Amino acid sequence: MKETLKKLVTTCSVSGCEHDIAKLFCDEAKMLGLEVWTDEYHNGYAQLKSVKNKAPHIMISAHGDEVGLVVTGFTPEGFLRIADWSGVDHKVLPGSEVVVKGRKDIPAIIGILPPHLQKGDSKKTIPEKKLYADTGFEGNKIKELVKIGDHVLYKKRFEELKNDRIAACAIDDKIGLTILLETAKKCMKVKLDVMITFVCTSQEEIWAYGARRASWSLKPDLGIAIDVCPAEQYNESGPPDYVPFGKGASIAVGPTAQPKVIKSLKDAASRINLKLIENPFTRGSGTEADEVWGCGLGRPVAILEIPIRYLHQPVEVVDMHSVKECVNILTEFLTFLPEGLEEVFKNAIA
Amino acid sequence: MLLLEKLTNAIGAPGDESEVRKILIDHLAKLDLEAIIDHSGNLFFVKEGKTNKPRIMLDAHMDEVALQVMGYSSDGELRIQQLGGIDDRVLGSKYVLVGSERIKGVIGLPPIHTQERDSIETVYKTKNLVIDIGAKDKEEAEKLAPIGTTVVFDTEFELWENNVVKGKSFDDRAGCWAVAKALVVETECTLIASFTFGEELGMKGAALSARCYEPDLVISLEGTTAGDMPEVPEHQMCCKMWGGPVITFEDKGIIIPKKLRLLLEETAKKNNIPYQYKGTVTGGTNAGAMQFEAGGTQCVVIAAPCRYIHSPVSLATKQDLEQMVELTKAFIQTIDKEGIPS
Repeated sequence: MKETLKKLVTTCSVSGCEHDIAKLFCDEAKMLGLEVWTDEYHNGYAQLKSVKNKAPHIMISAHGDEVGLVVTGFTPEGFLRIADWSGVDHKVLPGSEVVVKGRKDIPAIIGILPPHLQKGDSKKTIPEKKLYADTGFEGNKIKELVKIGDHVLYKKRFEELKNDRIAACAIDDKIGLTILLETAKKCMKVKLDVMITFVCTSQEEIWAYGARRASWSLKPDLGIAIDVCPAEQYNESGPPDYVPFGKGASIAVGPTAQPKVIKSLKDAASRINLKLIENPFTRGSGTEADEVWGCGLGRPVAILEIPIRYLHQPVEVVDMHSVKECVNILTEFLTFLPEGLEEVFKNAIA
Repeated sequence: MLLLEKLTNAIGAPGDESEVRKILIDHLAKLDLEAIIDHSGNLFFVKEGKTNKPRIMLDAHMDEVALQVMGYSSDGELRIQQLGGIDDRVLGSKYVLVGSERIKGVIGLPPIHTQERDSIETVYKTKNLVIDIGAKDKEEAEKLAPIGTTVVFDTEFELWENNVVKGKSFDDRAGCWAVAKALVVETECTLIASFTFGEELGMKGAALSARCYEPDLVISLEGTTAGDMPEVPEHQMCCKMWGGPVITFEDKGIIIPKKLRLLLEETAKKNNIPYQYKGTVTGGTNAGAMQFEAGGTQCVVIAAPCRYIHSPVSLATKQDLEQMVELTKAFIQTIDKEGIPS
């Protein structure tokens, strides 16, 4: 599973440029024996047919895109001005290594002025408009290699910490894709009463338009999104009310999540002696499930989450035990779909 | 550049420079030079010359800015303090290596999703940051990284296609590299290679080194702050990358004797080596401590311009580094011929 995750996190896929990740996802799924295709939104689909005719259709999705930056200009000396493209906190940037996706991949670092040249309040972060990427190329040379609008991503890394925890960037939501592929592998071995389409969706970090496109084309009877959520982490002002880290997967509980589906997933977990941690949300879930929920005249949805630390940063940390648990729960749910859900599916009107 | 790669990838927090020492000893064994290590960890190699010629010390420090484990959170993260000066703003969201076992760790910040709007521009101070090595609890963390364990940034050396080198600790592994390279110069002067410990904590090793050998001349080799960055006025840049080796007039610890500096400039001109001045009186080097401690030994500082020193990742150019070695070698030969100006 770690090998798959490594391949996924080291593939660049900033929001709007998901071709490579969709292709990788489809290639991996195809090797497992699933039927795959992509669409013009760079969504990647992988389908598992049911043994039954007219079986309920479940869309299980995770987003393939990741946060990144964009080149907004050049300084006369050849430094690149940058801005957030899809959810980067400017605080993490000074002293970071990045890759500029120009005519080729160009390594760069985000510079910071030496202390004796720093003006202003050192208790304040350096604002985004003052930040720049340094490729080491001079003045005009860099313009041959990079255009305004090219993307800048965190340098790809994959580091193993203690206790089966992994640090990397874009674990949000490559870990979701890993779960999709692992679940698909397990589901290949059983006779399914449902049809499943696994989708690697695009543009979640913007407005989840990829999931909107995918759900409108699939019109599934049920949508399950696999995403990450902020886990408890060190905080000098005391522990916040977030999902504990390293204690298993969580399930989002809130207005758009279907209670019967939530119950079925929790039942599936307890059948295999596991537990899903409830993670409440208000308004929207903040995941692509909201787009699936609003597809057509509405679709029932549920959201399974992996609590991770340092979300949207180059150093996201995930606990692989929680990931394995999530795969097992999802497989159990799909293999032994409870009777009561038929009613839920019926209510999903095209 | 292979030696520089090894040296900058090595871990060497102040007082914990054994990896760097080992690389230098292994490398200089090729020159049949015997390593001398003093009680504090300074490393010396002496290449004897003629007794009537000046004794020249080539100096560089082995340590780099680092962090130190000073406690634990209840969840098993490591609380840290700085060893050497690091801007708090470069610490967040970085990969680090903990201890001599190189345990992988990260310094994470709160996610952008959970920050209060009014704290989004707040800088997290070192005392409020922790390292996550994946430990399950405090006990495990204590076992893996006892208090006092040193931590360095996890940054790998790379030579980019534009001949820019990227890595950590160019301050002062670039100097160590240059000393090792310059040591092969043909001269009748006695050369003392002095690789010191603990510069980042106040030139700790330099004092002992200079007192021990009392050289006639010290050439201090450094990686120094290049300030050729956006919105910096020309006169405040200190020095520029690609501008050649940097010659110091004065820093916070030393005024370079004028005749000596002019001789160094003369040497550069004669050998067609470009050079630039350190245009600001900032920072200090081993030279200051050595001049003071060895009762007025004459010192010069030659440095390679490096962008972003004291941060997780810095840049320098192959050309500047190589020219620093050339200038150092040429200067040794000038001194050999002309003696030390008085």
